Amino acid sequence: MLENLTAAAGDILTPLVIAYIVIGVLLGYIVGALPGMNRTTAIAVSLPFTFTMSPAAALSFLIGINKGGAAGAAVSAILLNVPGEPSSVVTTYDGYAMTKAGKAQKALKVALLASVAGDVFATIVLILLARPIARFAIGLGPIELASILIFSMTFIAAVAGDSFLKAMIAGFLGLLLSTPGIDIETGMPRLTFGMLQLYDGVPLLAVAIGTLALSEILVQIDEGWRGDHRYPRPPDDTGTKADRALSFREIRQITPSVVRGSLVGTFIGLLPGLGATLASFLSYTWVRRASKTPEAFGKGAPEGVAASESADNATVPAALIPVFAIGVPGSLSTALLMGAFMMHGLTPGPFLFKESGNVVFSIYIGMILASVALLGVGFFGQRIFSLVIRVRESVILPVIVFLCVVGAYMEGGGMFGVYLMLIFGLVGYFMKKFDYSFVTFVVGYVLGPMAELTIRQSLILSNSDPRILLSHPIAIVFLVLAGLSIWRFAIAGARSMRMETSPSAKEQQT
Amino acid sequence: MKILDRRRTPRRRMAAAILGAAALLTVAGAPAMAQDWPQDAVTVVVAYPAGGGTDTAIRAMTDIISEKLGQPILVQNVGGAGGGVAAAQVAKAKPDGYTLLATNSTSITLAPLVQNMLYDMDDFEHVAILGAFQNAVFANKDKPFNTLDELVAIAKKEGRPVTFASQLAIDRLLMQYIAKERGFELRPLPVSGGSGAVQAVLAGDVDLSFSGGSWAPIVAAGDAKALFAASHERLKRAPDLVSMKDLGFTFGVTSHISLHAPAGTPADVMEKIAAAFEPAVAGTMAQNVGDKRNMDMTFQGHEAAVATMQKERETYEQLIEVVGEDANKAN
Repeated sequence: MLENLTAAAGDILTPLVIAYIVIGVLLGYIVGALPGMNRTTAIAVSLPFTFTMSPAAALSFLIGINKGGAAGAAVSAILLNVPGEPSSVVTTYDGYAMTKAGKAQKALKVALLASVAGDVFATIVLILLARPIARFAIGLGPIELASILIFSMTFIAAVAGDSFLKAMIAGFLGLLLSTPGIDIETGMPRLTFGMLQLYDGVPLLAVAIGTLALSEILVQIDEGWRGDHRYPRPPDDTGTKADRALSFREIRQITPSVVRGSLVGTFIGLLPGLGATLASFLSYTWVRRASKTPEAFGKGAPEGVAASESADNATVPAALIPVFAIGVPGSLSTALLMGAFMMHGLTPGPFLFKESGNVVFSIYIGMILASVALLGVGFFGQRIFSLVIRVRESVILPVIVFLCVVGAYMEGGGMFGVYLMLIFGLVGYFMKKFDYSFVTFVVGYVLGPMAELTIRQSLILSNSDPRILLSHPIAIVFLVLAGLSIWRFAIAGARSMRMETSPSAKEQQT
Repeated sequence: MKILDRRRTPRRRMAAAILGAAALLTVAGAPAMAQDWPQDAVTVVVAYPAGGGTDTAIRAMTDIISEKLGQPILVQNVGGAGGGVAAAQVAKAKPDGYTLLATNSTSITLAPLVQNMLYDMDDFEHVAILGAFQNAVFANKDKPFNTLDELVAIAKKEGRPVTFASQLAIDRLLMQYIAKERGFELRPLPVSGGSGAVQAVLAGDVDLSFSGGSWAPIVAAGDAKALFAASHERLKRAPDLVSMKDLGFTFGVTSHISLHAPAGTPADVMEKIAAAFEPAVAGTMAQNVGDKRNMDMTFQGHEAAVATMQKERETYEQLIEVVGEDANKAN
């Protein structure tokens, strides 16, 4: 191992390779910060440029883009309330609230620290446990995954917010939206209305950009139109040092959230297919539940930003664990990275460590360098990114609309994606106006297809016989947790809804 | 649903004609002469997202192709519907040789037969075949069988169906055909993508799985065993693996990386395209991709490509006839 390490260090610690890594992180950061551009696109576009690099440099560069993208997405989430990527949706809750309170600089610092911490944690886990952990994860079959997803879905109720009923409606709308596409079992198109573009489902990014970004712009235009234009874009900081800088006490305050987020992100990341969006969302819920002051969440709690961002970034290295150890990518961006491995003559899987041990160690070192670069780029770039919010609205809104259109075009199958994005912009506008929950909508939509696939797989494997659970203890654990979660959140939520309708009961409770 | 929705075709043709006429009017110039081709960048629409086998192979070829043609090659990834979205897009493009489609041949030969696609095989010219996928059926290393016949015997003795991780129309059709011929019950487990198929096998959830290449590394690593090749003849890259012919079947299935142009593209333009792709396929970069991705990168020119595509189509038609009513149904 030690001779591997020295050989690897010789490969990677050259000025050129370090420059590649910094450029990769910077590129990822910019792409991540731009709403509607995502890191998967950036990796895909950059892949051909890595042909001339050494394998270790190329992969460190690409992983750097991935890491930078995950961190950069927080910038627009915090400053503009527009998530740069779906996984930063949760960051907007508290991040944008902090901006409105004049604490944008602080929020950005919290996000950066949390991102780097989550990233470093998951990178270390990757290095230490790549093989044993992946061996465990591959043992999780459809039955275990189905129960984990059912458990995750019950969390829709946990983040219901003010109106339980509206949150449920939004959640089911999200599920409904996830139903069009090729039926996985029969291969027949379902609810596609003859449109080939819907065969793989409603494109996620077009819907996300529409409901999350475009709707926000519509709301802002609407506010200006109605004459009560109240400059929704506040100054980025109040100027007082306490609101700008991050004190030692505050770092201590967010540390538990960062630890939780890193754990959740690492675990979710290494399970195939669950993804960063779910991780940031679960982490946020967990931190909020564990907090002594849950009512501060959604109104500018730094812990909320820390929880979301640490989990988001921790999924990036964690998702590489199955790729390194068994050659199975768990997400689109890792599938791309795996493609990059192969282009450079490395076959991910158990043989990777035996055949190309030096290269693996070079990549490890490159990943750690990328973490350092992340801190540097984020720290020095923060001021520049913050300048975005000083630009007048009449300039910035069209720019965002333009990026929305470009993003939807690139990721959503051409003009079809753009039309879809426009429609969902309107849907999102009315959802905002009538106060329907976006989180439950997005979660229902994202988890729906995965849950359907694994549940139907489980039904086929078990021949619809529940006794199969007896030989799957992990599944039982998650189903019991799901039952507890329904009892704790949904029934309590329904009860509080009834109380809202009878004011006397509400008074009694308070 | 098996039959192509033909009502669509005339309307689309008409729309294409109107669009074509409008384009001619606005450009107000003669269409580019074949001998001048190419005057502009050539777009290769890859029918799958960036990073897949087809995409990687095409990107490894672009340098040589653009050198031969003297024009840049633009690679555009249009994923969706197993290649259907890209095929529908290219079918509607102007047949001037500037828009090409690189796809898995089954999206042209098989998909219109079993799904309601917005195109059919005659909407395309088959310019060249760039390589062949090495389709095989494999199983977890711990399973108590080493051949198809041993598995069938075990399943029949235990009175249970054979479970099978299924991701595409091609593997379903193949397995239904085998089940029909050997007289056993098949239970397909739907999985998403090659990684889903590999995972289902490694987790031991299914007896069998089909894959276009991802079986090779896990078989080499000793985590799985390959049972037989899905093609009629033996695979180029795995000559020791028994084929469908060796097992006594009349048919086997193949799929290729194929290059297409919209129907009506001039023949001499297609010859120029094929001539530029031939050295690119033989190039070191493309061959390396083939080695790493377990694809047989062997070039076939225009005429051979037409014959190969036609043969593929006929095989699928016959398979669907044999499988009959069960085609593309789960149980």
